[in-house]
Amino acid sequence: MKAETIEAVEPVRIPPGPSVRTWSDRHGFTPELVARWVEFFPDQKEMLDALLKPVPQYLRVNTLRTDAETLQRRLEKRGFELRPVQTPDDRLAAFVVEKEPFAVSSTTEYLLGECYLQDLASLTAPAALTPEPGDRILDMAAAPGGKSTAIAELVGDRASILAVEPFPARASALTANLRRLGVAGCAVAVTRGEALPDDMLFDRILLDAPCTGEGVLPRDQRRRIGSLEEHAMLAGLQRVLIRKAARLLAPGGVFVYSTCTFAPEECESAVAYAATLGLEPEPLPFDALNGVPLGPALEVAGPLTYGGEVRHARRVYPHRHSTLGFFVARFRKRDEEGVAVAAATPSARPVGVRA
Amino acid sequence: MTQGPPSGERRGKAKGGKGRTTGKRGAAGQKKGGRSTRGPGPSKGTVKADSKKPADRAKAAGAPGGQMLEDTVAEEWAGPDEGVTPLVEPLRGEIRDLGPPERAAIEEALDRFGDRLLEHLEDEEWVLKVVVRTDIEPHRRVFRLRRATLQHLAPFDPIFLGVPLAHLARKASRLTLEGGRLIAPYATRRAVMVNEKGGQLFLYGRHLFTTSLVRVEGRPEAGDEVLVLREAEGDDPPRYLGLGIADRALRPLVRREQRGEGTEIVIRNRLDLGLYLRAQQEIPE
Repeated sequence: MKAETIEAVEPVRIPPGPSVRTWSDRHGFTPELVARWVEFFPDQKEMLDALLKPVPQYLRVNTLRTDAETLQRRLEKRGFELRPVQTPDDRLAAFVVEKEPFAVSSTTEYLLGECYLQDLASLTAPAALTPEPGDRILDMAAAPGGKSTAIAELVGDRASILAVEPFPARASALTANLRRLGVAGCAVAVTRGEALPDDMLFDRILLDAPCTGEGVLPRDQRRRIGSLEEHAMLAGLQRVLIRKAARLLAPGGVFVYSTCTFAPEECESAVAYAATLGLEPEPLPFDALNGVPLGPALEVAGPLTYGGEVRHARRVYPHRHSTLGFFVARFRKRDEEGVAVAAATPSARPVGVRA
Repeated sequence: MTQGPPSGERRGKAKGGKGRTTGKRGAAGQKKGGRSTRGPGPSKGTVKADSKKPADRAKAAGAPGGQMLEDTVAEEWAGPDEGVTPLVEPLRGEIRDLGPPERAAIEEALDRFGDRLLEHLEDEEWVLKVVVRTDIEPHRRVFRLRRATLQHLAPFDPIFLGVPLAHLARKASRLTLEGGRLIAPYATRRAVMVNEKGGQLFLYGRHLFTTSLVRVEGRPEAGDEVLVLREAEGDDPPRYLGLGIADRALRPLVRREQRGEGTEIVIRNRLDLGLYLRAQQEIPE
């Protein structure tokens, strides 16, 4: 099946001023990226400072294999210190690792699949999906499997999850995690999400979209040198995937869109785009993370303005929530729009053509 | 219904904006002078090919014909006029029932560890299916999955479906790492219990010494495959660690009440749960 054309989305360009250039040069960032953050976010100083510091390490309990108390007892016996944290859904359990005498990933418990290293912010996406046993669920960009396995935990491994990953090497990591965590209700398809056949419907779809990953900066400093062209291409790819999700979602079904970036083209703009496809934005089933209220979506980002369609979407920030940066939005497909969405066709404009 | 307008109304022209920009030299897979200059790339969907050897990286990425993955990404995401094609041909798994010889092979593989173990794996809820992959060498794996999952997801030709139980080969079928875990609670033969230290070393890929053994179930012969479990500890029940191969040195220990003092290798490591982290690509079978 031929995939859809990816249409680039023009990124917002903010010329960096002298102070931005100075700060960027000192810390090795692309000035054009920093200029955008300074323009978009009010508490810019705290935010930039937070990007230079590591965030706490979180450990999700695999409740398919054990329970939180048992895992804590076993790891504390080995010298680890764990503090329970509130997760976005009570069916999930997690700890922050406060003392780690050696890598937790080399413990017997980790190898036995009793836990999974996963940032707390990324649990908001599976929690926002509110999956139920018996659901047909699609994870459109699944590797390395943290969210697919969290979904399986939420339903006690009694749903049917299709985890899609286009890159074979990353699909191997995905299957390794499914095997380690003992998830039985999941299948892996190695293909691009937009190339999935149209003849099946899902009750819930998660698109944790390929993104520029600016929110991961506290952990992955390589992302300091991103380019705006990357934003343009990925925002286009995200729209292709959103269109596909709108087609594959059953009427009345739930769609969750998430990214780990700050870029509004990949966050609020994507939500506004989804709202044009018969996907009705809905409130998230939680309003705080780590005891701190979730941040609202941006209403203004440089030259971009957004309307009511983004009012339910939420942002997570390293400097406020002590996690990686994240963006999450939830939608429900309108019944009467289902047929129209399925008939929608993409623009014929190919990527690479300048306006 | 037509496509909606680009989201986010523009209040004015962005300074320095140059319109649509992504092209063959843009985006995640930038090319310059024929070489990829790709930076960190998107946070999902990229392949971290750690090897410095181009052939290894291409192989790791599954790029056809040894072509570098990054070049493939650059070319295909750049999108010629007819549109973007998938990165590689989708990998497909053909799902089918077990044939009589395959079922017999699985029963034979399981019977080594206990009687009628297959009955614990199939019932009204659970079913065994063969998934055949043709993108790599003829490759047949038996998966255990729920019937509902099969009904919902089989049409997508997944390469992986449920929990892998065994790898089918011409000469003999072999349990997968998870297959051993599935049958461990019911096994009555060919199981060895080890102490914590020995178990930890086993998880790092090491063989088991005499001093690590706590108990041996059944009477494994040299060359027999055995389940390796860590002994119960306090409230914790025995925990499955992987699969080993009995060495000749194990036999005298079995005869003399299953304990020993030396540092001879008695169980050779075949598969252990540490492979989930150690294996860079596919977990061996």
